[in-house]
Amino acid sequence: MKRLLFLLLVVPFYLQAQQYNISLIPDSLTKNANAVVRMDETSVVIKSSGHAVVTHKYAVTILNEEGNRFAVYSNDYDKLHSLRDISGHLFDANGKQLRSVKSKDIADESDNDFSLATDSRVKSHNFYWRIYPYTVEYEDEQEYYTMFNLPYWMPVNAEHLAVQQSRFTVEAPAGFKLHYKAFNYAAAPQTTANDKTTVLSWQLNNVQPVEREYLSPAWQELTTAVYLAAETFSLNQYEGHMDSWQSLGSFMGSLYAGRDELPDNVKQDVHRLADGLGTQKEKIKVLYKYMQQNTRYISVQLGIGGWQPFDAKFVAAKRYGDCKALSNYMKALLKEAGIEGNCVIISSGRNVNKGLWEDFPANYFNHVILCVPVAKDTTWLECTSQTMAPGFLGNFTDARQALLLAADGGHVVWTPRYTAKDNQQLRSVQAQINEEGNLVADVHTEFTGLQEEERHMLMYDVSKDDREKYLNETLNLPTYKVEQMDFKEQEADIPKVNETLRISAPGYATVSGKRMFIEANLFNKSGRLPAATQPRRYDIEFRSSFRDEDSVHIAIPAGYKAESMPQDVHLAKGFGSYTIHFEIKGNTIVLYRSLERIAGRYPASLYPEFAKFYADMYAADRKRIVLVKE
Amino acid sequence: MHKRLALFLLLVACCQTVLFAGSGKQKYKFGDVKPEDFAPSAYAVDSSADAVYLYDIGSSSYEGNNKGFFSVVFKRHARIRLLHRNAFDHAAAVSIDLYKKSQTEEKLEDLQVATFNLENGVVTTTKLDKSALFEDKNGDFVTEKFTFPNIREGSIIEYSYTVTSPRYYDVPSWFYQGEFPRLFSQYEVTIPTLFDFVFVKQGYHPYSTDTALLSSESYLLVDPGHTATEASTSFTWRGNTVNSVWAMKNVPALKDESFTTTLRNHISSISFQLAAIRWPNREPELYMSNWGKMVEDLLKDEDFGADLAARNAWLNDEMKNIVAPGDSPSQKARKIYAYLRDQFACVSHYGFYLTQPLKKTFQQKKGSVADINMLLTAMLRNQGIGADPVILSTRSHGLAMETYPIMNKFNYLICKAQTEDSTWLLDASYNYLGFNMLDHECYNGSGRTIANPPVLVELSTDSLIERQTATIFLVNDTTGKVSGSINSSPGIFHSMQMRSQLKNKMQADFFRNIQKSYSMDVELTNEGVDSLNQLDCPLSYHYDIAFAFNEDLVYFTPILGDMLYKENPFKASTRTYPVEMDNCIDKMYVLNMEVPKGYKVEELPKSNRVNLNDNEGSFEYIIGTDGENIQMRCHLKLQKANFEPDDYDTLRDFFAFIVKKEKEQIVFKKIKS
Repeated sequence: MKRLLFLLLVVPFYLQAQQYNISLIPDSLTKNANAVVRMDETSVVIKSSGHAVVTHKYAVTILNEEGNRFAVYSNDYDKLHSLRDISGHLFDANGKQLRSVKSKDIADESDNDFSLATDSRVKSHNFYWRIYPYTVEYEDEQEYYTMFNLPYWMPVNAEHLAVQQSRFTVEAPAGFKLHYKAFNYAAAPQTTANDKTTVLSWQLNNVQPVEREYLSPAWQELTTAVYLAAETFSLNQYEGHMDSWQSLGSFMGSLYAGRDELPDNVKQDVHRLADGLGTQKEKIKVLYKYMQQNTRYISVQLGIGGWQPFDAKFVAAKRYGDCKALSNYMKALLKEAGIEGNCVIISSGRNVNKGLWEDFPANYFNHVILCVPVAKDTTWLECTSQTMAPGFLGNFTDARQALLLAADGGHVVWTPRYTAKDNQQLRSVQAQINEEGNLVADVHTEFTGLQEEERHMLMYDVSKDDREKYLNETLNLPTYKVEQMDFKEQEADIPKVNETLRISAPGYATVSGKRMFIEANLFNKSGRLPAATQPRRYDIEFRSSFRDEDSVHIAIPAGYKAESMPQDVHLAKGFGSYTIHFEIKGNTIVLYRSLERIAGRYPASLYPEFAKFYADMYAADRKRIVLVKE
Repeated sequence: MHKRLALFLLLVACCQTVLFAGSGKQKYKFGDVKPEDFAPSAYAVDSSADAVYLYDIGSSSYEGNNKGFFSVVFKRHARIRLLHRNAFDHAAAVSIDLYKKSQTEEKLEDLQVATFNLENGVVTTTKLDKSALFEDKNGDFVTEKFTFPNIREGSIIEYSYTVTSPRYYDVPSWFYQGEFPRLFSQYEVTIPTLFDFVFVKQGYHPYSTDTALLSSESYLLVDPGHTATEASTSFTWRGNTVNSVWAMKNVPALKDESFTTTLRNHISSISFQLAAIRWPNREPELYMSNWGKMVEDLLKDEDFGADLAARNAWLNDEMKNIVAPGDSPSQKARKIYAYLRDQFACVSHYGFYLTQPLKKTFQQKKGSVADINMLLTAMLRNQGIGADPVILSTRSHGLAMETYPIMNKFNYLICKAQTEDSTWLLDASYNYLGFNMLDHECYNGSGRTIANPPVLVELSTDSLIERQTATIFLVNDTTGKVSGSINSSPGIFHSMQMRSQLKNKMQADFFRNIQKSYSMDVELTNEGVDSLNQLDCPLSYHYDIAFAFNEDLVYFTPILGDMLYKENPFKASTRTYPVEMDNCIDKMYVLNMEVPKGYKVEELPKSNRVNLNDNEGSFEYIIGTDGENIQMRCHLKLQKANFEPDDYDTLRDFFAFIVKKEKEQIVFKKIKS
């Protein structure tokens, strides 16, 4: 009986090796594909709350040059995850094996282009084959020494990639509490259970390639995915639960416990700075500035240090720390002044969807910020920036859900969602054009909220030379020079930058015989012209709202009158509105332009309307006024 | 070679007269920081600098080692004033790379790291904890990394270390210039006259000290013995040494500019190449002398040309599949080239030594640029076609010496092949290159054939001309609209870039961008790209357009769509380094247009011609009408790819004129009926 079972197991493997002949790929899968996943088997065997074995075997057929990136094997490991038993094979179009990879050919490198120190390393391999189509097959095995994060399954993880067959299997001891969340997978997982183990499996067959669209929702919403979370896990000596946000939060909180003790000199600084101040808001502001002036951001991620902060004393002595350490330090400063702040664990960056799924507690996070909750006047602090205005978050962490760590455990909270009124760019231009078409312009612009961030970086994060270089290369004028520049920032929950520029642009207006041609919309031309023809598949998503206003006055040389004026345009839709108005008053051209966009999710059926809106705006932004000499 | 590029060379031989200069050395003691050192809030060298090196001092010298020979001892000591937070990430993070391959393992010693702050008039010191020194292992290298603790704006940070390397032939280079300005930078090199080095200095900044001093020294060498039982023996080597000191004061920061081949060419620096070891009472052992000797050695070297001399009979079977017996030498060369280019993967475009035997490259179908192009050379020779390897330095790697074979200045290998009537330069490592074409990275002055005799191969961008043409016909069609056909060839170098973009199913996007570049609403039809896969010639694209004229007055830019220069390519208003473009330009635009039905020409732009510095470039804009047809020709020629900084303003004005002129419009007026 045992022998028969052995044979049954071996035969399919043997057959599989023959099955990489490309003629076995259905035609429907190669259309628009650069590569086809022939098979992908991920098996997660959970042994205990602190141990799992993950085996992964997959084969990809590369159809063309663009598909070569799918032929690269790469996987990482660190103190909490081992990686071993890597093997790989290369097959030609007929499925005939050409090469195997030997362990010495697997490159082993530090995974470090960002941190000062990390224990994460990467093993990678590439056959570098260039005769298409070809197939690579790899397998490896990993041991997880913590269930804090578990592998996920995303069978279609890139554009132009088809999948012939992919399966995800999870085995856990009977009674082990495992949660999962599936996207774009209608059925329940196949489940087999006996008194020792429970096995869940998900499978996909014959999936055609996916193509992203302009402003389409996050990738994970477009394609199938399954995420896992273990209700009970251990991380080094710490035990934790993920059955609720409350319990995950109290686990994270335990990693921070007892790490907020400040040295005496810093305590004295806190009292010296904050004791005399009247309001809590003032105290927060002063202490945040103190933190900014006395620390800087350095990334060090070693072992559990990836999740546990350096204590406040370390930060005080070294004057550096990562996001956890700096937030924890800031929390300690506030505590010394009698203010309670909470660390908030968050998923950062622009490509994050909602931050987390509320019905599925798990560890999604890669960043920490600080929050001082007050009814209707909560203060948010990004502690890794040395220049950010107190209370402002910016697009790195805005408008998403995150996990706030409180004494009673974790709470899901929303970070601020900035409105169009918060994110403004208000510009007024006073310009003159002479008979040669040379333009001189004084430009005053007020940037607020998310629109302020780029200017803020220009003020604080680059050298004077780079700032000049940037401004001299990025304004949309043919030939020009920024003669003077000045920036002032007003700090507030919604910070504001006032920018003053003096610009000279020789030959801005085209003089041709007795006529002069002027694009009066000097500095705010929409650059995107979405394709109008294609059928739209996905919803349109705007992540943020904003409002731009431009008011331009251009004095023209005496003796010219308007021969042709562009028509005003006014567009108003659910997702935004646009106005442009042209006028000549005496010898001055007056232009007014406004654009407002409202964040949100809009149905794909609106796409033609949306494309027309952008096309009309694109054209109107570039309209020329024609002047003729009398 | 550029006049301004002050790259020059010193040969120091032991018999050469050596200056005896007084040693005016200042002492720089670690940790000797005084309150007044914190006084300046800015430094005259660059008042807007975010950090300034107060000094950066290095030395290299020799010591006897216990392997029976010499080690190079490199010391560095830098003191930096931090003035603005922006400098923290770069100035206050240090990595030291150490070569760790056994036998030639480098050792880091005496690392001292400290931050100094002025608190209440007193200088406080914070030293680096040993636990805050991190190590990254990658292959044969280990990187030691640290950042300074307790820094703020105004802090002084200081570090010093020693690296000992048994690689006696490798004296580290010294860079006087970097991201931040330096008040003082000095490199002192003491070399026993046993070793004969060539020094290469480059950059524009003057030396404040440039001295050499001859003296004598003894070195203790310990020979470990060749077997486990053999006792080690010590002996003393006594001989002359040359002590050289090169220093600079107030060195400005290095600044990036567009149209620069590589900033490397402009850094004030000094580097070294071992030329010979002069054993007493023996013929010198030459490491680098002249190209003839170098070629002889390289052709015998297993890691270079040894396989070229062999018959390489293992090629014969596959050769039968690649070339046909009746093929001409030119056909054979083309087939072999295409075979390697299309079927072999290049895993690294760096280095001119082979990384593996040719046979292995052939079997694995992958290798470095040297492996692939050397295999190409061998395969051509196998078919009786004359072929030799050519070594060169790519643009991003910096200029190489033409006269002296300083090998670390070279980083790339191509193949030169010839038949009775033609000579080709071939590089099979990029799959977008056509036959006898090179990537623009290769056009960096010159290359050198590794053959007898070694000849210089000219690879100047001034010799490359990008020929771009566009032809436009606009006629009145039967529906009352103006319709036209556009045919454009973007030139051979643009074609290389465009091919990868267009192959990737992005043709729709490409034409969409063209549509966007029109100032009026147009629909493109019959779009197409020709010669997309004929890598040997430039590609071309074409499309048709139609637009309606309705207004009483119609303003029409005769330079259509993407042929227009919308912006001046020379944006910066000042220039420090020479302008180094990828190629010369010959851009021809021709328009033939029927005057739209029902309209007459109210106004035409004026014809015009301007020259750039007499004959270095010209722009011609010629337009005329007979009332029914308009003909125009617009021709831009740039005869040079490289310009001196002094010519920058003229060049910028020249393009400003073009941008302005090309925007001029024809005015059509409706005929009142």
